[in-house]
Amino acid sequence: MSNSSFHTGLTDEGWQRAVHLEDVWGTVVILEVRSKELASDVENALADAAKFLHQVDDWFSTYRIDTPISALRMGFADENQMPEVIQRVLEQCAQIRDLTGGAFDPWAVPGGVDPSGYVKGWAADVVADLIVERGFENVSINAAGDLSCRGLQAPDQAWVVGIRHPFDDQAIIGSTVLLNTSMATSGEYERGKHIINPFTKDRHLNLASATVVGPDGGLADALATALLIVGLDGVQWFQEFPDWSGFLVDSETIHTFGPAFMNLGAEL
Amino acid sequence: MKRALFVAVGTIAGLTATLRYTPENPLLTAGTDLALGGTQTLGGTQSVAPVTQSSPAVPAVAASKSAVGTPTKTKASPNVVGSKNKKPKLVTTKSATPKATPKKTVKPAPGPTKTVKPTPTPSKTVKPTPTVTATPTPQVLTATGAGALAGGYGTVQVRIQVSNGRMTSITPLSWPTGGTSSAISSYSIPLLIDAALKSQSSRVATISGASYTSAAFRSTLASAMAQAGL
Repeated sequence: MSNSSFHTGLTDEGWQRAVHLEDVWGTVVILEVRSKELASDVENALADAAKFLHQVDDWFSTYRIDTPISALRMGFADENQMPEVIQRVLEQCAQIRDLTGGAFDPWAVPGGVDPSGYVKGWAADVVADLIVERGFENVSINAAGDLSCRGLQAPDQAWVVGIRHPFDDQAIIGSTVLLNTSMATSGEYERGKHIINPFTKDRHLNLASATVVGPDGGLADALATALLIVGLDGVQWFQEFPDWSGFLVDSETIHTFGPAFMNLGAEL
Repeated sequence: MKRALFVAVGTIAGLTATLRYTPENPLLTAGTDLALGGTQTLGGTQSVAPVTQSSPAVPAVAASKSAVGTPTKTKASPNVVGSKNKKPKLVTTKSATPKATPKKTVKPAPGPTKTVKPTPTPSKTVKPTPTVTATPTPQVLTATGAGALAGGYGTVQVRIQVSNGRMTSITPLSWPTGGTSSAISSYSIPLLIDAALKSQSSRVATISGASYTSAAFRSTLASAMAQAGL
């Protein structure tokens, strides 16, 4: 079975915290809730929500032979034979492929279709919402770097989140506030992700890291990767999404757009 | 209470100023000036806009911003971002390692860089008519306002911390929505890091992009578990 652990404590402001760590997808997912007073079933609520992460693995893992996505990749089934949830995810991916002019293209990956560039952020959103449905309104999910936040982290304080520095894994390079939104960051440091540039068919990337903030974690995840590949030109994709924001780092400069990063340096 | 109100107005106006200042002018090409431009944008929110001249608190802040050394308001015609102008503007700033760059943009002190944003179209200023919705402590205010900000932005909610009558931090609780947002601002990395690290120290709850193996993620994990008694 899976490894998980549960912790509780207090914030500096005196709110109760509960944290559930789930080993899944070859990484760790952090589920956290906070409140002035947490209901007594918080441990069960977080454990139940974490089960969804394993359900996602059962559907989408490309490292296991017994998943529908692997059957699809190996040619044992086609897309319309997939479970409905996979079909829906693939439809989303196809739309994002079109939006990004092919920069995000799960079908261009060697080895067959691989939507994992969308799934992690999407799953973080689903888990956050599952926890909210259980009555916990202040939720933060960190799915190995893909964030999905609901409510507040402290009285009168929305969740403050940092962006990993692409050149220093001990530092953050920026921060913002997530207002019932999600944040995804893709970086050239993610060797394990094997990001392939679908245009050049190689590993060429145009940014050191790309962060996207918006109301849809799956889309944020996919667009962060696509921006990493394409660079600043990709900002045009956001023309119709004024609520979305980006934080892009190249070798020596940070470029931002959107409301989440308009307040940089607000600390007086 | 009255003063609190004024501060709130000032902040929202400050936000407005930031929003309005989107260096979209393509004439902005590489160079030191640009780096400075970036700096200023960075300090953007400080610019407590002139809307609230009446406030005793606000001018104090504004004054501290525009203090000496203010490396010129790189006002390379900071165009107002028109709401119809959907096209994202790219301004790429090669961070000209600024010796002029006054680092530590963070203290209210004579710290330069806290530039007052040029508000080229004063007519467009907000009238958010904020309502102070919460005062957890006498010094923390939450201001909400819906105003016709440049570009047609909507409701803005910010939390303002006031110490000795001066704003010490502005935390957005909601972003303005509905306007054009895809204009790019650029900053040199060292400048921004100052601000990021500062906020990191106390409030950052979790980190994006920190992969499983990284120290950043381990510290996220550690802080997630740093509970009483653990």
